[in-house]
Amino acid sequence: MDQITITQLKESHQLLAEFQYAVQPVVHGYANRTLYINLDSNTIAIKPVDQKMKETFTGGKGFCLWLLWNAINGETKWDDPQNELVVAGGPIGGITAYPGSGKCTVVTLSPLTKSIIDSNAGAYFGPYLKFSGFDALEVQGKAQEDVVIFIDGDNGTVSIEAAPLDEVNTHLLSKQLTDLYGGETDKGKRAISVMSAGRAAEHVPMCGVNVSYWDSRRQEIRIKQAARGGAGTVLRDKRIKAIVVKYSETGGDSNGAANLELIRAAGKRINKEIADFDASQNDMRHLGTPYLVEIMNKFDILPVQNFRYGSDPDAHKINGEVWKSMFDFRGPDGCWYGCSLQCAHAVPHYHLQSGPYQGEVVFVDGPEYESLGALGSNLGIFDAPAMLELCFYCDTYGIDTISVGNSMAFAYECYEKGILDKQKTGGLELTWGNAEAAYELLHQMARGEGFGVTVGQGVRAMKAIFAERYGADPQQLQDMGMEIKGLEISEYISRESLAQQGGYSMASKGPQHDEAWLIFMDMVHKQLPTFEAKAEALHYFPVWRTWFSLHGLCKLPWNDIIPVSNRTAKEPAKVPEHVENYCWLYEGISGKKTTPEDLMAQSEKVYNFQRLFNLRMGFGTRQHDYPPYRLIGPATIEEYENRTERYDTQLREVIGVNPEGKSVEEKISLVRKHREHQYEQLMDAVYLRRGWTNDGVPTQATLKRLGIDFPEAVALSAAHGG
Amino acid sequence: MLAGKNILSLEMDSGQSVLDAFYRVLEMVPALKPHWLDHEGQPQVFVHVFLNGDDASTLAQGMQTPLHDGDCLDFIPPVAGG
Ligand code: SF4
Repeated sequence: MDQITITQLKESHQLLAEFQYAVQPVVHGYANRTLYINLDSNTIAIKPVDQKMKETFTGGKGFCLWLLWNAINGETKWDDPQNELVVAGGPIGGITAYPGSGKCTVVTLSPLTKSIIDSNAGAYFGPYLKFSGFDALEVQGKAQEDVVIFIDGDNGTVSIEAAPLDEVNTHLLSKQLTDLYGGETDKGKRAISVMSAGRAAEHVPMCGVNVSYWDSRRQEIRIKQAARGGAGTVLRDKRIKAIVVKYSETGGDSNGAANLELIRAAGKRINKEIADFDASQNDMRHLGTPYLVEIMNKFDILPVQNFRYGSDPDAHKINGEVWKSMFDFRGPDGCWYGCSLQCAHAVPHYHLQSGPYQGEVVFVDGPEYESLGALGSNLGIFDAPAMLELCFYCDTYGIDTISVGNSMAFAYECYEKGILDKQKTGGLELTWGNAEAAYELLHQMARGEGFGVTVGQGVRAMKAIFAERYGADPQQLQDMGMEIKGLEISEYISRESLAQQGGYSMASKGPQHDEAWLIFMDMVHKQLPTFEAKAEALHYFPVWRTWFSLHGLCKLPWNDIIPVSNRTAKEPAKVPEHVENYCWLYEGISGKKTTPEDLMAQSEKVYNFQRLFNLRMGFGTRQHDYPPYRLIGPATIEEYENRTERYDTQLREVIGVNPEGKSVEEKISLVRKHREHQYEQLMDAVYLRRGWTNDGVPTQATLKRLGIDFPEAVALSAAHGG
Repeated sequence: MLAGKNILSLEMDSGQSVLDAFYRVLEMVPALKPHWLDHEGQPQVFVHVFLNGDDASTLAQGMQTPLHDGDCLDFIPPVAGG
């Protein structure tokens, strides 16, 4: 097909609805309004944000959850028109004096987990949405044809436009829409942020959304992903090709701060720290998150071959140093203005080897550590160009790299074990290291055909399909299928960290490291020796990490750079100096004196509310907090034999059984009994610490203490023994 | 990882400690000094030293733990996960 010109695109955008509003300045971090769009009726409306909503839910993810709670009921399914896609930045988000202040969170009813999912992305959407006048955006209903939603914060208009000719895949669509709405100048393009998915989102449930910004130094569209849990699939189910926001006048005081000096003081302190120490610490500015590959491999926690093993001699082929030599350092790599940590790297001039764009030269954002774990080590593919190929297509098709990597790895292991064969895979040889097969699976997902569509349903769905169709043993599939709550597990082996097992398994949305990453505290630094210490960490850190998504902040500047004051800190893992910075940020925005306890209180309300929301959707109890056994211990003979000394020693010294003369199967069974018992004890301790019943339900007393004891919440808790 | 070096072999006298090895590495790769030492010449708080896979700060004798033939030391930045 000939390329569509911008003029043709513009002419094809028939206006279906338009709404005008007065753009008001943001006051103390809030626009004090949210935007509601219903695509069934092409309704566009504004809703007020009252003080009670701010006090209870703070903003960002908290607002998203509350708006979705009011829009759906316990019976709603992800593809019902009632389901919403809700997006918000947060009150601190949009400042430019402190690194990591441009995130947005996307919340919806997930096609993967069937419960509530939240996922966050960098780039400019969250701040621009707020500066355009809205603390959050809700989109409900389904359009009858493909549409683009355009929020023009410069002129105070919101429109729903038919979009018959626009591309679907992100790398092309973001460019088209940035040109269409931003015009030809850099200033115009910089004012645009596009949220989109891709072709695979029309066929498989594991697709996220991409969020764009214009990189004027490199003259490239850059994208960041809110990848987890299927928000992109919901976007396309609503027949939205993209949501575009435009805002041109971003400045240092756009967020209406009460005390900009205090914010600047915090920014000055951390920016100096980053300038002085990033190169000596994680070197995020040159290596980005891929620095983790080498370290995870060293500590035996890099997922290899579907999480069976924790290291591989070839891991160095995809580690940070490899990417450092390929990254494009022509300009800064912050995904929002003022981010001095600048970890959002990209590789230029990559020649695509497969698929519809074969032979084209493209710019590839990332890769991030999670993608390298999922699509690299976990599939036994240790090849840098193959990583770029897979990451590029995952992004442009809208596919979550973690979910698809784990799903492919599960299928590869099923192939190795004879559960699958060439006939069942449509001729694909799913052998470890086979990158071409992985490419083809992605292209099939985008085309909606072949075995790729089965893999694209995710690990939980494949477990059921393979048991039913091919007579595979459901217990074996359960043990080796790396998902919890229907969401694929992010890329760390937690077998030797009980706290991390809990961090993954008890996370509200499913096993994503952004809620709790405790492996190093627990396994490496040995700072959590008792159940009580682990339970305390599994209370504090998930609640604290939730705080970032309430405010539109990136977590990385909290603990990917460590201040010198940590030497004398009582609890260095909390990075107290940075927590103090965040108190200054909130105080600077709101004008209210702020303590660390105040920040935790904001977060704990939302954390418990999300648990209740899961409960309302039929989940949120103990039975949903169990991991596959491979997350806890060696599930197969090959895993045991890979670390015989470790497990034999544990049998002898911890369990009190002499391994001599026992078969591997007997030893696996003894280790399993012990580890599963430990996990049960951990759950008891965590629930108790969180103020939940032994079934994992927030008690009525907890709801009252947190001020979220409104009638429906109390009734839900009571109905489940709380 | 720093200064282009990943692996070094150290010749140490018997009875020397993890801390001695730390300073020996800096003698061999002086480019690491501004990264690993604070302005008083003490090890930076964010450099974690591991002896045969164990965080030296969790050992009974900490950085004073004596070394033995074949011991392996790792120097790791403050890893925070994704
Ligand atoms: S630290 Fe990295 S991911 Fe976070 S805001 Fe900065 S550039 Fe973006």
